[in-house]
Amino acid sequence: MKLIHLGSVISVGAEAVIYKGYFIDREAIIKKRVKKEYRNPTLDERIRTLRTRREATLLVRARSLGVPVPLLYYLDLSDYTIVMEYVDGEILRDIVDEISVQELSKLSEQLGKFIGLLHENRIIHGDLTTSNVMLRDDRSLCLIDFGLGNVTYDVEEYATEIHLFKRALKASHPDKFNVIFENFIKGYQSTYPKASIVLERASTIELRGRYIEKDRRRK
Amino acid sequence: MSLLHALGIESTAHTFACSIVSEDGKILVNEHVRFTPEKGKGIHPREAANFFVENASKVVETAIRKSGISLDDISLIAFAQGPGLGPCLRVGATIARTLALSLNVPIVGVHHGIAHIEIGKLLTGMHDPLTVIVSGGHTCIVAHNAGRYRIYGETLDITLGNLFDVFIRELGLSKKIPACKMGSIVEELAKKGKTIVEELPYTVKGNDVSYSGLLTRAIEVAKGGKYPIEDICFSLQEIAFSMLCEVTERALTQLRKREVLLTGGVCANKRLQEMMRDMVSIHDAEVAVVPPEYSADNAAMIAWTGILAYKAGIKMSIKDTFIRPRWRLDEVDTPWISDISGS
Repeated sequence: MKLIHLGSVISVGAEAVIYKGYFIDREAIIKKRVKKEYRNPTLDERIRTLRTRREATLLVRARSLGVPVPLLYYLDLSDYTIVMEYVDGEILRDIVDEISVQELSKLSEQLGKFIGLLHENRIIHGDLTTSNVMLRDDRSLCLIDFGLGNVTYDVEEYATEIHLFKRALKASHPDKFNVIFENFIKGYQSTYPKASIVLERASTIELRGRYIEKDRRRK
Repeated sequence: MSLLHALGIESTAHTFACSIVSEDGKILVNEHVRFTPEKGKGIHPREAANFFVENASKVVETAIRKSGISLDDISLIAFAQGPGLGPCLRVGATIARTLALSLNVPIVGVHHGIAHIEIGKLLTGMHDPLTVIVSGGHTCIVAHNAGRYRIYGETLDITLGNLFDVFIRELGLSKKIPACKMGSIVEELAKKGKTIVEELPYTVKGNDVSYSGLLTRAIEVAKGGKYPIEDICFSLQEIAFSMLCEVTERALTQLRKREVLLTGGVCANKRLQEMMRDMVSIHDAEVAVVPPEYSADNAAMIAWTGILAYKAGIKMSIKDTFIRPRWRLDEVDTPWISDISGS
């Protein structure tokens, strides 16, 4: 019996081609990290193997912590393929401006709690943006795309995650930045005892970046 | 004369430049001088500024003479207000203020990075691009959204230009050429390399890249002598550019843009151009590369952006013209652009 039915392409992302098909008889997402024409073949293989392996590992770890992620069905490293649960819902990025501020606050706080939980357990998502958070039809969250994630003891990595999330919000949702970020931090602090250390480091990372005005630097 | 003519001054780093551009987008003249540090050294801000002081009046005079218009026809002074090296910016700002006061015309301070984007749009005809600015001063991925240019990805530490410049100087491979040309030494050596050096790290964090670890490791490996320098340069380029292509592709798919505009000094690199074209080929998007004269630091971009800003109602008095060495691109309002997409 064939385990995987590829079905149809639902997106060609930067990282992989995503199919909606079947795993045995279940609806499934099949994520294939395809060869990048621009990338040197040696480098390309190194990156695809590493990320496929990491993503599968982190999906399992995150789930075991109670962080909602798609259920991992199958992994085929030789083909750089991960098969996982099909999540019915929408990408948070697309609906930020449609949902109420109350709901957005609540969801942001929840997201913060989940990220706090991951950091408390030494896991970073690696690409935290509203494009990688889904809202299921039952209004609960689901985190996707762990390909850039990692297990690390380095506080710098947790802080970079917060810094990049903040910048992504400012770029994509300038009008909703405050409501999302403030509530996110509230949630983050509630599940992660060392949050304040990370947040402090995050602001030094921001200042280390290029072209931050001097008066902000001195603070 | 009924058309608006802007005289632009650029002096953010190694280049002092003067250009005159008319409101219909015609570049009448584009003059520059470049500061060349001693072999093996980087740009010392004060030395560059002194060099600017010595050469500025000659450049401005030549520009006006070649433009075929007279001083009286100039209706606006634009200058690069930041970001950049303080002493260098100050020379350009002082000259700009003097010109504006003596000609009694308005003055507008322009953001250097935004000017790179605007001249690129003018010359390539792109309307709403995802812009990749790669130079000694910038490595960032920018698109317009909600009244400003927003940064969707950037370097967390040093720029691509820095990476090549410092690598070449640390290894004593530099020649007496402007700092902005060091990348061409890497590009030449890389052509003879074939093998990826395994020890070099590939660091992408979300939509950002980090080059400092790659630089440190590349210098160590090169000094270790285990690999030919050609292979190290080859690997340095392949890894650094792959990282940049990856985050650009990420931003491209997230924002669903159709145009990628490549600008800044490093975009002259043929391998980078090729990789970017390969990258967009599966996304129904196109790449345009700004021609070298206008992708390296120049004053035409300053004059043109000055015109756009002025026509959109941006007015500055002399006291608003303090230089801004650390001005971030996403802090600048862009009233001359109406939002095209809601992304």
